[in-house]
Amino acid sequence: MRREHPLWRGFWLACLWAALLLPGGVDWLAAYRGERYALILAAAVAAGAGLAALIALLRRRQRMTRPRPMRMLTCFLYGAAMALACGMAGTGRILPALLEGSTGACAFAGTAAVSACLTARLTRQEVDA
Amino acid sequence: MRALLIPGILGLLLGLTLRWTRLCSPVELRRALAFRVCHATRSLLEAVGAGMALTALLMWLAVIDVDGVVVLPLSAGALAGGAVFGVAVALAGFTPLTAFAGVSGRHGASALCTLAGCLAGTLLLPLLDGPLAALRSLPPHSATTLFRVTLDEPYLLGGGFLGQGCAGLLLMAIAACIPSNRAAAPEAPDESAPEMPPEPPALPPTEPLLCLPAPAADAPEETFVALLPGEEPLVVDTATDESPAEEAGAEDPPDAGEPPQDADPSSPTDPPDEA
Repeated sequence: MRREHPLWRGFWLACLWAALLLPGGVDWLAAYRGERYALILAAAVAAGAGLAALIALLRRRQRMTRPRPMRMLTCFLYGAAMALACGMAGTGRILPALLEGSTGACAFAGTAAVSACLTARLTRQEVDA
Repeated sequence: MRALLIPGILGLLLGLTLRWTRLCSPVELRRALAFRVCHATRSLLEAVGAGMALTALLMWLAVIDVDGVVVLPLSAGALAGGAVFGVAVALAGFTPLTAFAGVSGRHGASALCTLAGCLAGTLLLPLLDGPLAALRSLPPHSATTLFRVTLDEPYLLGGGFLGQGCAGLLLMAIAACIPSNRAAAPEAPDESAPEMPPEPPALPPTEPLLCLPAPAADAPEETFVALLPGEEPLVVDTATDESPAEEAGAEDPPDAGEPPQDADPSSPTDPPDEA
């Protein structure tokens, strides 16, 4: 299997998720609350993604798009809705619970997948200018 | 320092992988959620399946302490939260995790706004703890794990770690069976990939070449007029034969001061065709 194959990349992502379960899993909402471990992890995620994008940024002279103010406002509201949705479920530790086989996490992921698929199908794809 | 090292390395690798799997791109994530491009969908499904199988293996090997597993019970809050979460992810194009990785991408401003929204929502959660707890207490209440992976929590199906691993392998098999639409999946749609120009409109079917005898009175009978669509009529004289000298002249044109071959009537290479 080639290194660029999507299944290979998905498997690599699964290995990282399983490695994150070893210290007890990560509550990603805890990063927003300022807990140290999750905050360091989130900052390192941003740094790693920036490292991967650095070559593309330099080669293609890619510029960051400037979204419209309405788009920025809606992104803010969608982010707040995501945090509140995790609060409805009771924890931000949805992904580790899904991997461990919790029925609540499976129901959360299933309803999220269905509603996201319907929303993405029914709404026009909004791309920043 | 050691406390910083492990999450730092894991976070770096996770950020790199999220970039490689293109899940931090809002455009790609929305396409994957809509099942329009199967590239990221396959990666996501493979990651969940392999993650479940690997977690079952690690729990079976007692690398992960099953006493520390925090299970999430099924409740109305989980169902409603999942629906709200899915709608928000499909519209924003980010999750609370991928927004961190999306900050360095092309849609970094949108990712930053999503991060700010997640921060505001997290700060609002303690104020809404009462209504959210009431929502979580609503039915349906069910078993808290799919398979028997803990010691004292209720479970839905027997099979233990083997059952959970088989469920993960099933998801991996489904991901492998999804056809990969390479043509519809550009390498990096958020990395300023140039859009393909629109295909030119289909040309009308070409009309056959129409050859008519010359209608003009002064034209000889051996002359035909070729009518091409959209072109001026072309007069073709089939009576004149090309001489070897003309062929040579066509390949090697004479100088400007030299008279042309057909200007010399005594030339044997240019017999007049009287027929």
